[in-house]
Amino acid sequence: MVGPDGALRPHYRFLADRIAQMDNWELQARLGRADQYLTQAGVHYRDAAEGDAGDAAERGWPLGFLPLVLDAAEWQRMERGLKARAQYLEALLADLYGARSVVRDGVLPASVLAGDPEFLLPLANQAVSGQPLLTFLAIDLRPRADGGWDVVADRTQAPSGAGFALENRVATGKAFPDILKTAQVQRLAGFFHAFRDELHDVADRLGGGGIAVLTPGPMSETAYEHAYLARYLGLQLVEGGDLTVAADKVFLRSVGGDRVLKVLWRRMDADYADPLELLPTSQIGTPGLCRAIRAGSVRIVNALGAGILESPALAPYEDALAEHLTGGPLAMRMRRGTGPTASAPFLTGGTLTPRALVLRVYLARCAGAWRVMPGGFARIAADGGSDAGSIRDGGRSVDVWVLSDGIRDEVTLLSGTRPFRRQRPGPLPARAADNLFWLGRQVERLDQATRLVRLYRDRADGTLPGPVDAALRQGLARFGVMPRAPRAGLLALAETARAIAFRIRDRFSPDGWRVLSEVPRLLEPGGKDDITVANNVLGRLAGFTGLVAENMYRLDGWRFLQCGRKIERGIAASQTLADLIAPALGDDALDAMLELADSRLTYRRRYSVELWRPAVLDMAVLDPLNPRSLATVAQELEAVMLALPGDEADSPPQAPLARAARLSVRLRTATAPEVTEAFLRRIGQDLADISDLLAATCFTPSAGPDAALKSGRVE
Amino acid sequence: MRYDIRLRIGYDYAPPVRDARHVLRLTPRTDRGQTLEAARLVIHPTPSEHRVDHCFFGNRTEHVLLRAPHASLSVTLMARVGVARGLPALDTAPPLSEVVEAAALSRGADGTAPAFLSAAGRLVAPQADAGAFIRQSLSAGSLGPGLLAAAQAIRDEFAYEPGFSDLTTSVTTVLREKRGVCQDFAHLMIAGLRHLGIPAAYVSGFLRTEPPDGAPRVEGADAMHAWVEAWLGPDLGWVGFDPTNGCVVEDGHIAVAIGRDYADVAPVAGVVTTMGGQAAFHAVDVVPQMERPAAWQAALDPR
Repeated sequence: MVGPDGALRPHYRFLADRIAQMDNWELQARLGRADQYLTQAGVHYRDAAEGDAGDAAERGWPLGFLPLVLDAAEWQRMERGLKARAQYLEALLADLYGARSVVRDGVLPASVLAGDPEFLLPLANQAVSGQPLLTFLAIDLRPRADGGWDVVADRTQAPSGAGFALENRVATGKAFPDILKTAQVQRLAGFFHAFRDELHDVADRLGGGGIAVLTPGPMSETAYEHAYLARYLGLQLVEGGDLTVAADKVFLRSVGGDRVLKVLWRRMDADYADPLELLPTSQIGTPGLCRAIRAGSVRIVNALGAGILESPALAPYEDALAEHLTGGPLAMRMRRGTGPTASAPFLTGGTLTPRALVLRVYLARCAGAWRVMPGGFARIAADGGSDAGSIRDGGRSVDVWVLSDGIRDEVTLLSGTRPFRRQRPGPLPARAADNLFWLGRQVERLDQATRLVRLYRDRADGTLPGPVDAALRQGLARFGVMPRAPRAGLLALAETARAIAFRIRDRFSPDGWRVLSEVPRLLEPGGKDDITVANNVLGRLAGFTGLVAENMYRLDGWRFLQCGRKIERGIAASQTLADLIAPALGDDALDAMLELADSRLTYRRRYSVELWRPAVLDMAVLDPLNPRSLATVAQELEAVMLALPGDEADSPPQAPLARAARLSVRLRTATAPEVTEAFLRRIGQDLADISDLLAATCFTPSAGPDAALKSGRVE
Repeated sequence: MRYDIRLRIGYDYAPPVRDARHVLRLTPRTDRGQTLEAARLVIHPTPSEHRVDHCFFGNRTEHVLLRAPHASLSVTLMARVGVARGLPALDTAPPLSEVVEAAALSRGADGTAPAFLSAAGRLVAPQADAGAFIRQSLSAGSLGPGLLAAAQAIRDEFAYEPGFSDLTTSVTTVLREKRGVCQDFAHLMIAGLRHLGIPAAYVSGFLRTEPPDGAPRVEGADAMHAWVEAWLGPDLGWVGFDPTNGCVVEDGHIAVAIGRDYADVAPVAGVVTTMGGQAAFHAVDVVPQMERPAAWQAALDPR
C-alpha cells in the first residue's frame, strides 16, 4: 500500500512493476476481460433508493484495480488479532443472551441493552442452551500509517460481500491470470468449503435436515449475492414465505411434501424474521420461527439478535468488556484515532493514485475454531479526498490478495477427502413451482397474443369479411389487446411475465433472464410497424423457449414451467379456433386457423393449395404429428404431468393427471366431424380445470399471479 | 377479593383464513398479590397445536396454530382469581431524583428489571411533551402522591371516547386532542414517566364489571382494561396507577400481562394467510365470587 509519504510498500513492487511493463493497449485489453466476465455473469447490486423492480435499479458491479496486496507475515498478525476479536464477540453475545453478567457485574449499563431494539426480547435467553450464536461474521478494518489496522465496525447481523469477493477474484483473475499464479496468492475456496462442511455438521448434530439461505427476496440490495452463494455452496435459496413452522420445527413448503430444515443462513435483518413475535408488519418473515429457535430445533446463522454487537453504544465499553470476558485487552480494537491512515494504489487513467480504503474480512466458525478467509472485500473511495464510503456512493471494490509464504498452503486438501457424490436436486419450494407454472402460462399467453396480433395486422387492409374480422377481434379482446393499438396490451402481458420471472430469477441463467427482460423494451411505442415488432417479440420468445429447453435442469421446476405453457397454449388455441370455426366464416377463417397453428406450409405439402375444411380442422386440432395441434398439446401435457411430484412421494398428482389423460385420449380418438365449436370450448374449459386442480394439489396456498395474498395481522 | 372472570374474544373472516398462528395473553398473572385458582381457555375451532410458554416479562403466553381453513375464531377464558394487593404506601416513595438514579444504576437484567421498562417499546417511546405534562403534577416531596395526582389529572382533563383512536394514534395526538381510551392514557403516562427517568410498565387486565353499591361506574369494565405501573425505588418497587380512572391500583384490578406498551401485551396477536378482512368482537365479565351467575358454577368448579 501507499504510506503517508506516498511511497509504495515493498510487497506491492512485483505488481506495480509488472503493470508498468504493459503498454496501454495490453492493460486495457486485460481490464476489458474482467469487465466482460462481470457483464456476462450478470454480477450486479441493487440500488435501494430506486424503488422499482426494474432494471433501472440494477447497477453493474464496479470492480477496480489494483487489488489490495497483503504479505504473509502481515496477514498472520492480522489473523491472530481477528480470531481473538471473534472469540470476544462470541463471548459477549453469549453473555448478553444468557447470564448477562456484564450487566449484573456493572461493566455494561443495563440501559445499553434495554434501549437497543436489536436486543430481541423473545430470544433473551437463547444462549443458555450453549449453542453458538455466531457462525459467520465480518469485521471492517482501516489501515494505519504505522502498518497496523483499526476496527471500524463489526458486522454480525448478516454481513454481505463474501460472494462479491469471490466474483472479484474470478474477474481479477481474468485480467491478471499470470501474475496471480506466480505471486502465489492464497485461494478462497478452502474457507468456503470449510464453512459449508460446518453447516452440514451442524445440521447432522441437530438430527439431520436441510440447509438454506434465507433471503429477503429479489428486491434486496445484495440479492445477487444470496443466489450466488446458495448456488456456490449447494444450498437452497428460500424466502420467509417458503417456510412454515410445525411442532416447533422449521419446514420448507415444497412440492411433494414439506421438508425439515435445520440450518438457515439468514441474509435479512432479524426483526423481520418473525411477524408474530417480532416486527408485526414484516411480510418476509415466518411466523413461529422464534418458537423453533427457542426449542433448539434450528440453527440460525447468525442468531436473531446478533445485530446488537453492531451497536455503536457498545464501543465506549469495549476495553472493560474485553477485560471482563477474556481477561485482557484486544489486539484488534476500535480506535477513534485521527492518526494518519494508509491508502491503496488505485489505477485510474493508466496511473496509480492513492485512495482511502476499508477492508472487510470474513470469519467462520468451523469445527469449534474461528477461521479467517484469506482475502476479503475492499472498498476504495470514489475520489482522492474522501473516505471509502459505500459502493452506492460511487466507491469501487477491489480484489484482495493475501500472499502465501509457501510454508502454509491454504488450499487445504483436507476438504478434498470427502468422496464425490452427485447431489440429488433439492426440493422445489411450492412458491417457486407456483411462479414457474404461472410464468409458463404467461409467456405462452404473450406468444399466442402476439401471433394473433401479427395475423390481424397482416389482414387489416379492409379485405377481410366482417365476420372473420370480428372473430379475430374477439380473440384479441380476450387477451386484453386493442386491435388498432395492440402494443399496450402486449406490453402489459410482457411486463407481467417479466414480473413473475423476477420473483424466481435465481432459477434462470443470466441469458434466459436477459432475453425475457428485453421483450417489454421491444413493445415500447414508436419506431417500427406492428408486424415487425410482433416478429421481433416472437423471435425473443423463441429464444427464451430454446434457452429453457436447453439449459434448465430437467427437474420439477422445468416441468411446472412446461405444464403452464402447454395448458395456456391449449386454452388460447382452442378459444381462437372456436371463434373461427363457424362454417359461415368461410375459407378466410380456415386460412387464419392454419396460420395461427403455424401449419400453412405443412398443409400445402400434404393436401394442396385448396382449403378443405375437414383437413384443416384435423391438422389444427387432431393431428399428432403437428406440434401445435391440440392433440399434441394434450399428449405432451400428460407426459410432463406423469413426472410431477404429487401429494405422496413418487406418485404424480392424481386429480389433474386423470383429467389430462382423459383429454389426451379424447383428442387422440376424435375425428374431424366431431370438432365443433362446443367441442373446442369444452377443451378450453377442461384445461382451465386441470390448471385449477394442479394449483390446488401442488401449490399451497395459490390463487394465481394477481391474487393479493398477504399475511394479515389479527388484533 | 376473589373474582370470576369470563372473557370472550372473537374474529370473523371473509373469506375464510388458513394457517393462522396466534399468541394469546389472557390468563391473569400469579404475582402482584394475585393467585390464580382456576383457569380454562376454550378455543374454537380446536387448534392444531396449543402450547404454553412465558415471555420475557413473565406473562403466560398461549401459542396456537390453526391449520385448517376457518371462517371465525373464538376464544373464551374462564378464570377465578384472588386479589390481595392492598393499598401501596405511596408516601414512603423516595423523591424523583433518587428514583431516577436508582433506576439508572440498577443491575437487574431480567424481565422484572427497571431498565427493560425505561426505554422505547414498539409503540411508545419516552417523549418530552408527555414528560412535561406529568411533571406538572409532581411536587418536591415524595413521588408517590405526585404520580397519583398525575393519574387524576389525566382522568380530569381527558375525555374517555371510544372510537377516536386506534393502534396507530400517537401520544402527541392524544395530548393535543385530550381524548382517547385507556390504552391511550396508559401510553401517555408511560411516555411521560420514562422521559422523566421513571421506569414504567403497561399493564393489561380486568376491572370488576359492576361497582360496589354507591360507588360510581368505572370505565373500561366491559373490555380489557389498561393501566400503568411505575417503579418507585428498590424498596417500594412497582406500584400501579390507573390514569383512566385516576386512582391507585388496589384489589379491584386484575393484572393479566405487563410489558413496555400495548404491543408486548396484546391479548390476541396473530398472523393469518388471507385475501380478505376481519371483524372482531369481544365481551368481558368480571364478577366478585359471591355474586356470580349460577350458570358459571359448573364451568369453574372442579368436577
